[in-house]
Amino acid sequence: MAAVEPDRDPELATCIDNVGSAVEAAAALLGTPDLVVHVPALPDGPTTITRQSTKAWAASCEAPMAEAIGVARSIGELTAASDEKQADNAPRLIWILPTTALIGAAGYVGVGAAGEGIRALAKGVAKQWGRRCTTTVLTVSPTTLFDGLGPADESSLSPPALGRPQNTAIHVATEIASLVDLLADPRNRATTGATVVADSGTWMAP
Amino acid sequence: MTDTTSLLAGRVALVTGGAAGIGLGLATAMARAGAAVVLASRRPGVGEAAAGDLRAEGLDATWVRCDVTVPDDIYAAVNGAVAAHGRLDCLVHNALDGSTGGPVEGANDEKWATLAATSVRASYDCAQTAHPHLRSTTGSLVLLTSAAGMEGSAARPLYAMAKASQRGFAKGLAAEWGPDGIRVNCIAPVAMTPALARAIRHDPSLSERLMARTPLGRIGDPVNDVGPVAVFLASDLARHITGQTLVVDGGGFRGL
Repeated sequence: MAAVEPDRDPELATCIDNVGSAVEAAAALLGTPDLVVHVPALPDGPTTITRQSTKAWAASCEAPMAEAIGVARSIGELTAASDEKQADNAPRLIWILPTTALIGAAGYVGVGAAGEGIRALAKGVAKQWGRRCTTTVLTVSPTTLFDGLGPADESSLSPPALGRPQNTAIHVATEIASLVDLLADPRNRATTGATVVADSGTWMAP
Repeated sequence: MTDTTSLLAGRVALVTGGAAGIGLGLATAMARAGAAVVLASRRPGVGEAAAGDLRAEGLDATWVRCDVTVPDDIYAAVNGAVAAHGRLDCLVHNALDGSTGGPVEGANDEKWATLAATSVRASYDCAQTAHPHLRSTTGSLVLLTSAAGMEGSAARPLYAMAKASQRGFAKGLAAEWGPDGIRVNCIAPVAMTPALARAIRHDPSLSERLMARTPLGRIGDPVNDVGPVAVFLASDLARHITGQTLVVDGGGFRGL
């Protein structure tokens, strides 16, 4: 396992090579990964678009998408020569996004735009790669993994049916990590390109 | 055909990429519904001719040079429209350099930069510039997206990504601008544009494939099939609709 913090350059918002290099560096250490989890960097708090600087806009929207492309490109290159018959060993690429990315939230226009973009990328490369590498988008409660997104940013969401996690760190380490493990299990051969919602029952449509 | 000739009377609409293809279809329909339309595009010859054709029909149309990757161009186009007509009721951001295709492994900064600049970055610049004008008219912003942005595309994953991001942009901005009375929606069309006609000439089987997945059995027309949806979204008929995507493709995509 390797945890990688890519060299992000939100000002330029063209981080494809930076993030791709990070994945390639991890692969050089560990070999082609079985699982890559990408949690895009998101802004620290809400900003209305009319007050948002171009730099902040790029950091909130274009940089996360560029990072996602960089990750996808690297995995695509690493698996380009793989044998599709070895599907049991196919890598899985999982993106984790906040539920707000599905429905949009005031102050987070860039996050919503990036989220929908990354979901479409997950579907597109799933179709392109087939059994070479499968993809999933896991959406979680905005407060789970994204420090800057507090309960106030869930104003357009229903309260979670399962209640809010008492302890975010434990929630991530148990429920979310377990779900990632489940999705990455080789027995899970029928899921790709899908969005799996794990937000304690906030978003239930469709 | 329903008479829409006065739905947008007295309104002003600006359409980026409005001199050809889907953009011209939308602008034509909006002008025929009574709006003064401003076609904003890069090529003077094409733009002047398109506006001239609309004027020859007795419609109120002008052209302004606008490269949507240049914020100053957007600023000048929007504020020029307001200076000329006294208001702006609807901005349609349709322009996109969507020529990027192929596997994601071929993606680089330059390819993505072009798509991002004409999609979400241009939407950001359009929104920032148009906001005070749309607020004063309780107008609407319309973004062009694609079913590819909802179902993903193996052939054009980055194009689909850019189009999807426009949907996400619209949903978030609809929440943000609702209190100002500004509506933000998307149209996801498939229509016989010059670009699609070229693609079909290059690959004649494309037409068959499109027809096979289209329950209504034909490829849409930019003016008469897609245009009325823009008229509807810009009109008071849609005054309680925001944050939505209307798919206008003859039923090919039904996944929402």
